[in-house]
Amino acid sequence: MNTKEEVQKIFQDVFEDDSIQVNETTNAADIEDWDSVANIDLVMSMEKKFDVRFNLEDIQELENVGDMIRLIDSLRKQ
Amino acid sequence: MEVLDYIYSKKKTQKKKIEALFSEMPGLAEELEFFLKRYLPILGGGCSAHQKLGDSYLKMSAQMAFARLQFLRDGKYPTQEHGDAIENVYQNRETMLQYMLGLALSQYLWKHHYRLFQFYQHHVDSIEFKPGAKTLEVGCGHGLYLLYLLEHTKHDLAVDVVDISETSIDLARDLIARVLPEKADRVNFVCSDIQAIDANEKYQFITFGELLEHVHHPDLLLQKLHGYLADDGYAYVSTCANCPAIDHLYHFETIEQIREMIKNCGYDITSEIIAPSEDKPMEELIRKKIDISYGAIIRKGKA
Repeated sequence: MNTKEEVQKIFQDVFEDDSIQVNETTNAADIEDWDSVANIDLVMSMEKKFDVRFNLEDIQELENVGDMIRLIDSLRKQ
Repeated sequence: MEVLDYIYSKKKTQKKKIEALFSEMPGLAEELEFFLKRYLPILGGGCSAHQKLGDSYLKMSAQMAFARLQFLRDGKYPTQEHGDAIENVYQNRETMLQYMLGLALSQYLWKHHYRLFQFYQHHVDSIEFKPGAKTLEVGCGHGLYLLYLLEHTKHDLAVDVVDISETSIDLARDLIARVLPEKADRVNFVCSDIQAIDANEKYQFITFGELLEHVHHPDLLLQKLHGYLADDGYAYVSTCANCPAIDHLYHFETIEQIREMIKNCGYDITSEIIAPSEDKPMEELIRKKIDISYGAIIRKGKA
């Protein structure tokens, strides 16, 4: 699976909904249950899955799924 | 509102939560406008004041989110030493000012902070202060609680304010000087760590909001303030469970732990509010260690 597919799987797991489909522009307005608690769950799941660590600046910049995918890919290259 | 438009333009995810809160709390928008009208001038007014307040709020929100992430990763609050909180936050003028401005705005944009402030206002309104009564506030922070106390009590109170941060003192002093200049001379500001102060005063009312989580031994602080409280006086205390932040040290895991400590330090709780940071079932709040704010009006116990 590529990063986007893995991220999609994380969204489905966190929101316990296999029908969730995300794309690069998907943001909190598109998923009703995506609140600050879910956001932390997503971030922690991504850290675990991709073996990366986000910092304060990373957290500030995350607006949508595309931001998440790009951040993960850049952290994995380091 | 300009400040909200600015926040939404910088961080779209804020819009959903804030708009939901506004539709749930009628009158909140009006209160926010009133707050902005009085608070923005201390930041110089104009467009840059809106931006400064908005940026401060966004930075504080991100710091809180990151502190939560660290807390959930490591199982402990990210700041462990009082000295680190002093150096990195209380004595760091830029960080402290941004943090306090962010928290000031959160009194209107975060439901749990708003509810605690409402609780405080309701109880201050109902206390019968004696003319010239002496009161104490420990940790004035952004100054909004102090402003409310001074503005909404019938008699002129004398207020001693102790805060560990010069930045907070300056912010609160400036706020009172601009909004209530006629009462500015009723306030005696002291920049010090309350833990290091020994005084013989007795106060009719003590405000110590969001203080206990900032020290290693909140029980010792509660005992100390017990000595300052008049036998027929009241105090407002607030703190929080599972609430990591850049300067929080003491980790209350449950509301029951907070209540127990207050009672064990010789107080009776006369009224309380439990305000979760998220609208979730209690089981989920506890399981996910989501922060819950707690506020209470307390007095000396009869035992």
